[in-house]
Amino acid sequence: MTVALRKNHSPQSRRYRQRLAAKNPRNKLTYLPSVAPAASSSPPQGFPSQQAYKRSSLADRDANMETLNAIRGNNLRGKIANLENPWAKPIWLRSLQGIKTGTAIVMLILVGTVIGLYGKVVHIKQNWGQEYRQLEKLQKEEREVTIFNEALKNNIAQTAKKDGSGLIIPSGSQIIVLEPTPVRPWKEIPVVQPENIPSQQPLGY
Amino acid sequence: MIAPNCMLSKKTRKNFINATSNQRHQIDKSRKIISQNPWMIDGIKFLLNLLNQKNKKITNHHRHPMKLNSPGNRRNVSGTRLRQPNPQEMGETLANSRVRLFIVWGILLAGMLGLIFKLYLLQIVQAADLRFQAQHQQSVNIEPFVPRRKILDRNGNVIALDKPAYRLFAHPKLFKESKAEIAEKLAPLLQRSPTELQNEFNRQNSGILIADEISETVAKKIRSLFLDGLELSQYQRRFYPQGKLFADVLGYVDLEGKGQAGVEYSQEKLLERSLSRQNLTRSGSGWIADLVPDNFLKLDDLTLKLTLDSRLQRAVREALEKKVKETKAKRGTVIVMDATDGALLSLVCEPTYDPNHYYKFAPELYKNWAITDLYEPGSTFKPIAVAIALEAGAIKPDSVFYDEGRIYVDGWPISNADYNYAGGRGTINVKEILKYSSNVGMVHIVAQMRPRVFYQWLKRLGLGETVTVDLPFETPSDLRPDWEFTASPVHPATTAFGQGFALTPMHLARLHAALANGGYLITPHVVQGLYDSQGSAKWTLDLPEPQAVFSPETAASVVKMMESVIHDEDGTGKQAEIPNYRIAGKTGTSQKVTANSGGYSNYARITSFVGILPAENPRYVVLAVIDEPSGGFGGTVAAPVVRAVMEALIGIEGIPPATKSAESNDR
Repeated sequence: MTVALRKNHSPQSRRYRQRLAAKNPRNKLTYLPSVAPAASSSPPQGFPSQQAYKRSSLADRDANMETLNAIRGNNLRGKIANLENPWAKPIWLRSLQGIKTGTAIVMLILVGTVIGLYGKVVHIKQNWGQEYRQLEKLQKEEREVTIFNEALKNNIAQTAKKDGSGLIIPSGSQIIVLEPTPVRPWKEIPVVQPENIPSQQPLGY
Repeated sequence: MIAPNCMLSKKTRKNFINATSNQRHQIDKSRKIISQNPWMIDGIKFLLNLLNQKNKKITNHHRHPMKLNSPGNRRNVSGTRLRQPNPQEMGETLANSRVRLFIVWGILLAGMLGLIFKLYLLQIVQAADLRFQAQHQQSVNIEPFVPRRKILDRNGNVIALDKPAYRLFAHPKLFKESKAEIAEKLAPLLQRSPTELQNEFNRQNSGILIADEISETVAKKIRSLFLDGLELSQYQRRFYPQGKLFADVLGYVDLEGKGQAGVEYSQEKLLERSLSRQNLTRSGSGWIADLVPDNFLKLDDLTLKLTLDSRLQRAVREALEKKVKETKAKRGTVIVMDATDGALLSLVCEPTYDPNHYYKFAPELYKNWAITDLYEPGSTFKPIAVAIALEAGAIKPDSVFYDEGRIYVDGWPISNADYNYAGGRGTINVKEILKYSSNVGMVHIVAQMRPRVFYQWLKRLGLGETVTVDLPFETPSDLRPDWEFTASPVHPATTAFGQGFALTPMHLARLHAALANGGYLITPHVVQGLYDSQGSAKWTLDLPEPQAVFSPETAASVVKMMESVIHDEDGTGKQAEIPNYRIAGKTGTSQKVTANSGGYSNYARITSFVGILPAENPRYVVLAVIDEPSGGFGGTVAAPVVRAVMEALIGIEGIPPATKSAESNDR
């Protein structure tokens, strides 16, 4: 795992390259992407044309490299192809590593979500159980109150029936009949502006 | 040599030279791979570092200065330790490390294989067994407790509801103490003798029902004894807070929770609710793991509302009880009906039982004889016959007839009830026929119609069928078949004054309600519907359309005639008069058929009185029937009961007294 993430800062690579350049300038196997091709030699097939190359940013970079190499004393001539950095990991490995990183992040997110949802579901169910017990308790209490209420009514009625209670069954002699008064016509009320009553200090406070 | 020697360090070059050719070949191969793919170097270095810890150069900058020169730490010039021989060969180190790597891999693989094997054992071999165990532990059959619906009266008083009660079971095989001791402890709580309880314990080893209907307080006390082997199981028992007040209408519920009489029986489908059993999984701490289905708690708070009025029912019961006791009658019943739609405000039968302890009473009391028993209505049927004759056009309200006092129809003597002392009254009009309750007059009235026509009218009025829709065990009224009825003139004659056929008191009340409401046959009912706690109706009883049988004029004129029964000085129903109120009514005294001879008894009679209140705007019908009073007639036995009932009705419903203008208008 650490191998995948570690950058290639090995001093061997740079040092080695320099040593190689110093000792074997004619070595076919070169690992020198920084060396610019000779300006006089024509580029091989497949390379961009001279004009295109001159126009591209690569030209700038290589021009800089040329001056650098001139200062260092690197005068290489000959066809040198721009190879890929062999120290770089191949594409299939890099892409796999990329996929691994990506899916690891996605996995972390998903795991977090799942745990959160699961916790929520458990919480809801526990709550439900509690509330259900509460509901049963309340229903029971409601029943008890109703029973007590009705039994009390019955008790009161029974005692009222007895002789000494002073209560009688309602009959016609107790009702008061009121005749509804006839509907009076609307009376016109003149609109009166309220006068400005001067406010008086309340006496006696 | 694939790679130049300058690629290798001094040490590795030396190692390479000292290695065997085979090893050198291997080294070459690996170096070739590495040279072509230098990016592998990182990985290989990592592995080598893991394996060749011993060969690492150890610097001293993190070592304890005192330990630097200890025997185990002494090094030679090149920095390697003296103590342990150092395998310098790279090849040798590689081989060792490969072995070690293989060993580690082997251990890990063995572990994984072991786990896979265990998984196989659990998932495939023991699967069924474990699943069964899990289900057994986890699943719980929840049948949510759904009590029977409450029953309310018209004003919202609860008259029937469920009350939790406990049953006590004993399992003597689990007793920790002796049976005698436990019997001693339980006896005072259960109100039984200890010896009795001990005998119960000796019956079986387990599952003995010791007591039923244990209240919550007693159950708590029993539980606080902490005796092993006693089991209290809770169940819901139907409780009627008003005791026997509504027993005739409501009926009772037996111990299994099934209604057995009255509304509890006929509306069983409405009252009994059961949600299906749910099979759910349950966790260790008791909460439900499954998603509970939607209708799990679909408990509605609907209650069954009746049309009865508690206050009126109480007043009626008091009046009826008093009269039945006074006259030592066999039984009595009172029906108070709202004539506009047939809603029963009160339905009382005497004697009655307490539905809370129904098993202590004789089973004959369980029925509501106002609906189940037929009787010959007698004179209370006369207004109906007059209405039929008026409607059929056979007579007019001011027709007159000659009352001989006693006539012979087809050889049968028919006389007035008061013939012995009043004799024939001579020429009287229809109103007076009703006032004096003249049987002979009625015979003459009905003789104006053809018997077949009369019979058809009786059929139209529903004679021969049942009348209610929501009370059980109703008996249809009894009418002779038409060929028999029309065969002899004595049958229409006796039918005219209410003998010779039989109907239930409820049917008679319905016929009088037809007179009161302007000629419509309504359906007597007790159930209003299912109402929720907010008071809105979720379902109401389906009643058939009121059938028009009489024209409003006919009905009104008959009611007016019935008023004279009560208000006139010599009316038979004088005892039902209430000052300032206009009441229409009719007395009835009919002889009962004797069981042995088939004829009418001289002594046993059934007295009744029907009242319509208020007469100027008829609304309520009150019918009182008292069976076999020791003496007296309808006017003396039943009329006072109706009077008391009407007084209570006036007080409860607030019926205003008759105004002078209404009186003068009608007269």
